[in-house]
Parts: sequence; C-alpha cells; structure tokens
Amino acid sequence: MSLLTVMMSIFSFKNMLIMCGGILIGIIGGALPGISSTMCVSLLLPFTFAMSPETGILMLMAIYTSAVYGGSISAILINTPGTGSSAATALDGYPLTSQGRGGQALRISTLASAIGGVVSGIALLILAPPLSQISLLFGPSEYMLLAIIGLTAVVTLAADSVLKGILSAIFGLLLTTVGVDFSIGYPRFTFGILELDSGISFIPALIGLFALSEVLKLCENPKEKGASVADFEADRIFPNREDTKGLWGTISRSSIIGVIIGILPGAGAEIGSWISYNTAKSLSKEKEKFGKGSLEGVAASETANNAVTGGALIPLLTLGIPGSSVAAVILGGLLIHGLVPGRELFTTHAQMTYTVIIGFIIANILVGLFGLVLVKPFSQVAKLPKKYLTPMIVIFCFVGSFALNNSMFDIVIMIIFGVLGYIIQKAGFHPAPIVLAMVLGEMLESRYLQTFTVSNGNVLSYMFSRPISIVLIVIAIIFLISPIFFKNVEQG
Amino acid sequence: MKKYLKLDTIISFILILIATILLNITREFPERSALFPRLILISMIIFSVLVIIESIIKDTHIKKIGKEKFKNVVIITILIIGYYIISKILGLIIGTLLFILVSTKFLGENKFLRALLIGIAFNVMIYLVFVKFLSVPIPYRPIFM
Repeated sequence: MSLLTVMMSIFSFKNMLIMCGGILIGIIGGALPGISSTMCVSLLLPFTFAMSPETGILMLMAIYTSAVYGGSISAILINTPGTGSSAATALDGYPLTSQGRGGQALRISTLASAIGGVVSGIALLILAPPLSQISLLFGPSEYMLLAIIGLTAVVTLAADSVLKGILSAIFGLLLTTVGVDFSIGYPRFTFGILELDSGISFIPALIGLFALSEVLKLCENPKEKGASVADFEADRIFPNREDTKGLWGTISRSSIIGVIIGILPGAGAEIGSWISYNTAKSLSKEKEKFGKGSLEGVAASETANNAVTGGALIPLLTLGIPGSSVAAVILGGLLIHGLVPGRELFTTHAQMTYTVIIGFIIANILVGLFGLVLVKPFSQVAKLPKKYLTPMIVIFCFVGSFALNNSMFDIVIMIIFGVLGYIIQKAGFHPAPIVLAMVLGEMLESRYLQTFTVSNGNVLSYMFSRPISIVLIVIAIIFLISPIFFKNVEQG
Repeated sequence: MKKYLKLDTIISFILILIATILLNITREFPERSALFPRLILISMIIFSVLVIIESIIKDTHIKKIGKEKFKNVVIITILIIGYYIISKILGLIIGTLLFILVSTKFLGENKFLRALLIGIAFNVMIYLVFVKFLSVPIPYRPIFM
C-alpha cells in the first residue's frame, strides 16, 4: 500500500461522485429540521451494500460529517437546529441573522465546521494506527468486556436514566438471540417463523428505530407550519479577515476539545459543542455578547461538533467502541462488510482503512467548499414542507429495508421497530442502545461462551485474574458514572 | 400516590412478562444454547424491576401524548401499513404513487394534481437512483413483471 494508491482510490471518479453525493445528501438532511445525522446515515446504510467496502464506508462518513454541519444552517436561519449538535449554534446564530448578519454567521459556521472536521480527520489518521495495537493484547474475556464498554458508552449517552439505557441494551441483546444459534445450530425464539431462522435483520430494525419512529413524531402535528427561513445577505462567498478576526484561537481550541470529547465514549457531538461553547464563553473577552449574537459562540459550537465526528471514529476503528449513535450505525456498516475493528483494519485492510480516513479529511474540505458556494440553495431546503418530507422518508425506509435481502418481511420488521421506537421514546427510553446491542450481540455471546469454556464456568473469577480485564471493568464503570459529569457540563 | 401507571412502568411490566415466558421456553434449549439467553432474560427482569422502582421513587419525566397527536400517529401508521400491503400486491411503484397521494392529503396537501406530479417524480427518482445508479433491487410486482 502506498499513499499514491490511496489517493488514486479516493480521487477515482466513482468514489468522488459517491462522496460528493453523500455530502449533498448529508447537508440537505442535516439542514432539515426533524432529520438527525443518525437518521441520514441509517437511511443510506443499506445502499452501501452494492458498493465496495471503502466506497460504502467513505460515503457513510461523508454523510455523518456533512449532516452535523447541515444542522447549523437551520439553527442560524430559522432558530431550529437541524440536528441536536447544533443547538448551541442557534443561541448565537439566530440573533446574528436577526441583526442582518446571517450570511456572516453561515460563512463562519461553514469554515469552523470544515476546520473542526479536518483536524479530527488528521487526529484519526495519527492516533488510530498506534491505538489499534492495543487490540492485540486482548483475549476473549477482554473482547467481551470491550463489547460491554461499547454498550455502556451508548447507554449513558442516549437515555434519560442509566437504568433505562441498560434495559434498552439488554432488550437489544435479547433480539440478537432470536434465530438459529451460531454455536450449535439450534433455533431459538423463532416460533416456527422461517424468516426468523436467520435472526432479526439488523438494518430494517435500525431504520425503523432511527428513521420511521421520527416520521411518527413528525406526524404528531401533521399540519403544523414550518418556521419561515430568514433572508440573509450573501454579499460574498468566502469569509474574509473581518469575518474571522479574533476567531482563530476559538477555532483551534474547539477543534481539540471536539476531538477529545469525540474519543470519549459516552459523549457525542451535542456534548462536544456545549462544552466548547461554554469554554469559549468563559474565556472570551466579550462574554456579554454570548447568546445575543456572538461569532465566537457560533465558531466554538460548530468547530467542536464536527471535530467530534473524527474523534468518535478513533475508538470505533481501533477497538470497536462507538462514541455516538452514528458511530454505532457505521460500526454496523463495517461489520456487514465483514470488517472487524482492530489491528486487522490497519494491516490486512490497510488500503481500505487509509482510503476511508484520508477520504474523510477530503470530505470535510469539500463540506466547507459546498457549504460556502451553495449556501443559498441549502438554506431553501429548510423550507421543505412536512407534507412532502415525511412521505419521502417513509419511501426511503421501505426501499432501504427491502434492498438488503429482497425481502418484504424485512419491511414488516422495519414497521414494527418504527412503532416500537416511537413508543419507547415516549417512555424515556432511547433506541441507540438497542441498535448497538444488536450490532454487538453476536460478538458478545460468542466471546462469553469462549470465556465460559476457558474458565470452566467461573467467568467472573477468571476475569478478575487478568489485569487487562480489570482495567476494562474499571473503564466500563467510569463510563456508567460519566453521564452525571456530562449532564452538569451540558447544563453549564 | 399516582392513580395511573406511567408508560415506562407499563413497558417494564411487559418486559418482565416476556422475559418470564421466554425463560420458560429456554428450558427446551440445549444447555449451551440456553446459557446466554438466560443471562439476558434474568438481567432483563432485574433491570425492569429497577426501572419500575426508579419510576416510583423519582417522578421521572414522561412525555404525554395528547389525544389529537395520538390519533394522527395512528392514522399515519395505518397509512404506512396500507403502503406495505399495496406494495406487496401491486408493487412498489403503484404503492408509492398511492401512498404519496393519500399521505400528502393527510399532511395538508389539497391539490391533487401537485400530489400526483410529486408521486410520479418520486417513482422516477427511485428508478433512476436506486435501480439504475445504485443497482438496488426494489419490489416490482405483476404490473411491471
């Protein structure tokens, strides 16, 4: 593998076309209030199966980072963050629009997002290969604990109570036990339904939980009018010195904060942007402007939320621990393409992995260019009425669910999980732990059975006799406790 | 003391019931196949009980669904199920067209012609993007076979 082959692969016509398409879809999806970055990636995941792994994963990552950026457009122009990670941006972005400086706010948010994303991509490129070597030290019990750490990370991120998060994850694990048991071929919980022999398909369940459930939420008030998009001056395309004056420090600091928050499982783009926003506010010479139209506030939030994206991919690619809901979906994409996170990604599949990582950096540069040049048409997207948006998402859900196995039964699964996702969210549960448990369940069970065999049934005493396992248990406990800290920071 | 059960409590009770039934079923499984599901099911019962206790102790915030909202969600769910049934019988192309006509009407579109044009545009998009460009199969049925 050489840099030249990697670059040739990235700049091949097909990869560039797919990447640019992914960026456009991501920005548009992110800009639409009601469509999260998780939904964007989930809806497009099934279509990556027809692609090579590198093209597919590259597209998912491009959608991820561009959707996070896209959220800032509606946050700034209509005071409704397109994605949760842009909530902090709206605090200052919309007041700037009201003051007639919307164009300036959009230019800064685009520049900050692109820089944050590029920095996180570089961090991914530098940190991931050495970190992946850690996975060589692991035996079955450590892999089992890694899966548990991955689950605790999302459990704490996604639910309003840790107990509900854990219960959601357990329910997800239960779903993975449906179907013919992979160790001895015994059919479990299939109730004579042939289609369940191969288990509950992960992709339709994911689309139902993340996308269809959101459609149902959007339809609670079907005739509700969308917010009007404020007009803004687009006197120039690229930001000038006047725009960026005094912001470079904030952008640099927020990039680092974003990457670190991204690496920490249990935190996501939302928390990253809030921590960065609060830090910028506390260090600013013009604290009083925050909340009333501060460019520093927009830059801090937007740099960090995009810096989180690359950061979240570091534990994902090296250890298989997703730092966010979107990373959990990308993990599903990796596993379905037969790619297991860890050292192998950086040795056997090195060309693919480096193509994806360097492609991610280039995708972030393209996000910046697209965002600056096409800001006017993107801003109009936020106007798309619900009456067209919701049927469109439903159709995507149908096509995506069917595409994987050419099976109408998968559409039934998607609908069931969509309704389920809607109901559980009303009860304060979150679908992300269920999805991640479905991704990690089979690995967890196989490693558990291996550990059970090796330890002659004494799994706990075996784990406590291994120092690495003890360290991983401590990490899992820290992740379970961390939401208390993050909630405090988020509330500022 | 609350006079009604909260949704999280109801869900936890349902999970306890499911787990108990499934635990019983695992008795028929070979020992190795039953090991992991049993661990999961027992954990499910324990954590469901903990969620119920938490819900009683803490006055956890549960989003209530108003009558009107609930009705709308039920209607769109029925439309989605109808879309599935029609797509299964007549294929996705016809199903999509009908779904767009009915769902956009429900969501506030009063102009039939505009909805029809959007439905046709969607079908063309599905065909070009998914079938031609991404080589993704879609469920064609009798009319198009």
